[in-house]
Amino acid sequence: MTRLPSIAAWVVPVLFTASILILSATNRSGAARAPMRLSSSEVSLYNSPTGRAPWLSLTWTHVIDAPSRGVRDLPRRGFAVLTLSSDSGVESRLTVVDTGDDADALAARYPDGRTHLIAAATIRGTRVVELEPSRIAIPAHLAAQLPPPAWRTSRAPSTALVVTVQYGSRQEPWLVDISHRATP
Amino acid sequence: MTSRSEAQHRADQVAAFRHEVAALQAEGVALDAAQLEAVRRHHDALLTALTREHDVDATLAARQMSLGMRAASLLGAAALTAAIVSFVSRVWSSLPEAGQVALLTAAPLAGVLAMSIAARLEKTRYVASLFASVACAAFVMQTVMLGSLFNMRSSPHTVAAWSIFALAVAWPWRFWLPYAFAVGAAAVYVPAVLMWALGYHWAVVFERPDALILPAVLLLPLNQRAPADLVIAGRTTLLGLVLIPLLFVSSTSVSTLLPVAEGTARVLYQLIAVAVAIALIADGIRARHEDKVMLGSVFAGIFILIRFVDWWWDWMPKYLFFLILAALALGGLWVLRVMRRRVKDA
Repeated sequence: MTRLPSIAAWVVPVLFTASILILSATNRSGAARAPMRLSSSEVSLYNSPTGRAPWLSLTWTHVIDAPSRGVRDLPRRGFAVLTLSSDSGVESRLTVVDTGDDADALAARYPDGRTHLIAAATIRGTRVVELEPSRIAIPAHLAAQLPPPAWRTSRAPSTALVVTVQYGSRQEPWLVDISHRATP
Repeated sequence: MTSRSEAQHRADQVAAFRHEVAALQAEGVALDAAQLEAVRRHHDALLTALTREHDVDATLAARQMSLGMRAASLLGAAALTAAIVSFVSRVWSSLPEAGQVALLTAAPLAGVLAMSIAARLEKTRYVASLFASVACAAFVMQTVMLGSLFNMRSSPHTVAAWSIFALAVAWPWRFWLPYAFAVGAAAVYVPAVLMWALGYHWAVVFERPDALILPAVLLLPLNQRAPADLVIAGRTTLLGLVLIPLLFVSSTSVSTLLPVAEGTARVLYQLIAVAVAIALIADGIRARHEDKVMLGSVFAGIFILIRFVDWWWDWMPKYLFFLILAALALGGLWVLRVMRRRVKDA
């Protein structure tokens, strides 16, 4: 008897890619918030010399505590609002100022994307433990702006970077620009 | 005969019969030559048909070589998967985004194509099973790397996609490794999507491993409807997803989903572990499922050893600890010997 792979074996990979492309396009073309400019103090860079894709992650501090659900410390899904504080004494000026379950409600409360960033987050107890996604891919055309490849995360390169990040309608981020700002 | 396992069982019966006839003749027992010749001709035709349709191992040497080929197939799949992942990591940054997307989508499709061609050209299908496993690994790589490339939020539905693809790859030629992966992914998806729908991060099922136990138990009856060649692989995977979390939550301080104190939860799961071990071994003996008896026995052994270490290791002299273990093992052997004699006499 001649057997053939199930049609799903051919269709599933193609469908998956198509759905990712559609979701990504929806995220960027929907009600995207204005981009926010961050300095190299607010990001951690990873740029391997072995050809692996470079990425960055945001670093932040807490000002407020999320309301506790009291459910045995299980990590729950939510949204965090971050802004750049004026306190220059902290390691990262990016600060969590609000949390919630409804991204639209938070967007209505903090409409300006240039001053307030709304990201999907994992909240444990009263603290934001991780932003989702935890890493932001650096496109090839922006990777040329990065410091020379290093094996470890670079928090403060000798030439200060300005990273412009934008979040879309699905609260998924992308990098708009990376540029240099000469340190005095 | 619908499955390879049934065909192999029939071939094993023929081989055992032939060995027994040779032994009887060597011991001087008189056997009717005409009848033996008729049986021999019938068995030759049967083995020819079974080998042609199901590629069974007609001799012990052939069976040993098949085991070697299975091991080589598994190693080959792991090595080929590692080579593909390393290659993709190496060339990744030099590709434009469209090229990256095309490469990731093409990888599992190439695996499916290679599997289809190999299954047609090679009757033993060991090479085809290798490509089936590689196709599954390539699809996992596709989902993970596309998610990273487009900065997508993690979702439990990716695990469902893994299960569907692996099942589609495993089903036509009954490849056990992709099927085991499909069943495992399905057992993880059920509690993951439930936690996600309740507003929690879906990966909490790994942080609280007892979340995996009940869905795996509920999937066991469904697995019984799978083709005979795949049932054992699925059952072993699901029982593993029951027993390993049970071992963790009954023996370590890992958190559980139960709304009780940690110590109370651990004692409760220890009682459940004892009941599960006894039930699994008893059911395995009743249903003649060797895999269940083996899994239950290994689980019971590890569980008892952990209990003894927990209770006695800190204060008991080590020689006494191991002496008691040896005495218990001998005691267990004596009990099993008595039970075996009763089964034989019954």
